[in-house]
Amino acid sequence: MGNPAEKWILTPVRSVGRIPLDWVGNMGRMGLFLAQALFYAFAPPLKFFRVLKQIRFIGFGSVTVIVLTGAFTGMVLGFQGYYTLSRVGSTAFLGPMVALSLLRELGPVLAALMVTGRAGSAVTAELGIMRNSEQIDALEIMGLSPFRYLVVPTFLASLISVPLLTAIFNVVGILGGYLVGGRLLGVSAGTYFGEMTAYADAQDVLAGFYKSICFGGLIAWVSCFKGYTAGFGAEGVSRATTEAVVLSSVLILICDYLLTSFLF
Amino acid sequence: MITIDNLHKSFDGVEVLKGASLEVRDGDVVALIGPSGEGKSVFLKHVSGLLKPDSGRIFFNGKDLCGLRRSELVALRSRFGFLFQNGALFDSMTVYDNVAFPLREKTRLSEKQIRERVLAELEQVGLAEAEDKYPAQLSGGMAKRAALARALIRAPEIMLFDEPTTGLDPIIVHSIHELIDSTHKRLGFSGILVSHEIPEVFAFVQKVAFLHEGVIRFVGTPKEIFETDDTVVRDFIRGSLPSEALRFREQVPFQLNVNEARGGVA
Repeated sequence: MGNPAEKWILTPVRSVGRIPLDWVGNMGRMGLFLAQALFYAFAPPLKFFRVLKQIRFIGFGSVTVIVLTGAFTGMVLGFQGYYTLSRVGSTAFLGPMVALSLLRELGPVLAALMVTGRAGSAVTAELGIMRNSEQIDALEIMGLSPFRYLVVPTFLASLISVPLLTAIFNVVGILGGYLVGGRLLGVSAGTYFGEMTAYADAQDVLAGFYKSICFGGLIAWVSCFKGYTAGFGAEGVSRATTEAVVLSSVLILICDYLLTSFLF
Repeated sequence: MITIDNLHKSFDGVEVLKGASLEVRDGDVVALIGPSGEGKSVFLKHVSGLLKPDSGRIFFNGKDLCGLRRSELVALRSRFGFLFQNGALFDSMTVYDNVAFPLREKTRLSEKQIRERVLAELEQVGLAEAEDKYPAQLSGGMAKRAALARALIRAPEIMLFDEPTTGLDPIIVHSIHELIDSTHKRLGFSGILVSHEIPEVFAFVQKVAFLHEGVIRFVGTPKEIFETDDTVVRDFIRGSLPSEALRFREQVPFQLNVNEARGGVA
């Protein structure tokens, strides 16, 4: 590329081309990472205590933030739903409206976003620091698979924790909706919960359940991958953490749209 | 016997290793020396299988490391010990758990047997009192000794040391060297020791290899390296500026004091 004219033309073209190439390369690496994680998930032995430890961290550790966000989401839904429904004289449907919104959409999505922010980022930072301080290399040198010790337990814990946290989010959200709609605005408990059970069925619960499982897998996949492949130093780890949170959040929303449109 | 043959490795188009070759005989410890940033740690990580070469081969008793299946590589690694530059202790575990970890995961020993072996190893490295401490609570020297205990707990046949004394004071450096020497005599492992502690490491290694510009430029006994005619090697081990640079500086109008240039260290 000695010719200056050639340089002027080729350099921008190469820069443009590098973006999709990097993107495709990263997709491939993420795909291989997932394949390896799945392989070790089904190849015994399973590190049971590490799974429990991660469930404690991802699941139990996120309960407070899930309860708080669930309560306030339900309360906001109670307010907004009541004033919207009162315009058409249908405040009796507040219960079904709050329940269906939470069970099918808001519960799985918001719970997953909260877990991404609280636990996903921490998983990425922990793996990134372990990568930088050669702790992951130390595992490999001992003849132990980092996937079996670090990645698979996080995957399983996330798959178990996120649906349970979503369930907590839904229950607290429905109660929050009742607190506002019922206690403050006067919808009776019988109407609120009676109409809810009439309109929200098991299919709605299952729809949210399937979504939350997918989101749990997504969070673990992205967080572990970004941490495992984190760059050098504090900057590398902080960039990996930011990317993990942003990518997980975006993928959760895209996945939610796809699941809603194709499956339910 | 470890044979490293014509190793090449590039990172982002920069060639770090350009055909490095080395042989380590059974029971020998080879000190790998050379200027910073020349790829000594990269070389060591290839020997351990943590990095794959672009080309070249690594043989253990005739077995090609690059041609091994994953299960064979895992089996081979159980014969390895690796002392990382910063220790690489698991920071969520105590010193005791760090040292016990390889035994718990790779052997069928009872917890009582593991305890006996771990305490004996910690005693050997002078950390009997620190078993309940976490890596963050250890000094640099203690962390290195704990990492050494973890690396040696399964009596490896091959030990790789990546700058085990970097950032430590001279007394701790001496004690770590003594520890490596005594464990080498006790366990009889073969090994490669990346170090900048020249000439201290020459006191207990059998061979010295000099990595320069991506190739092993010199291999010989500690005595032979002092007698070599290779000016680059000679300048390096005497801590002088490279001969070429020195000649250039002698031609400039003002006289450059070499000791001043090196921060006043004689």
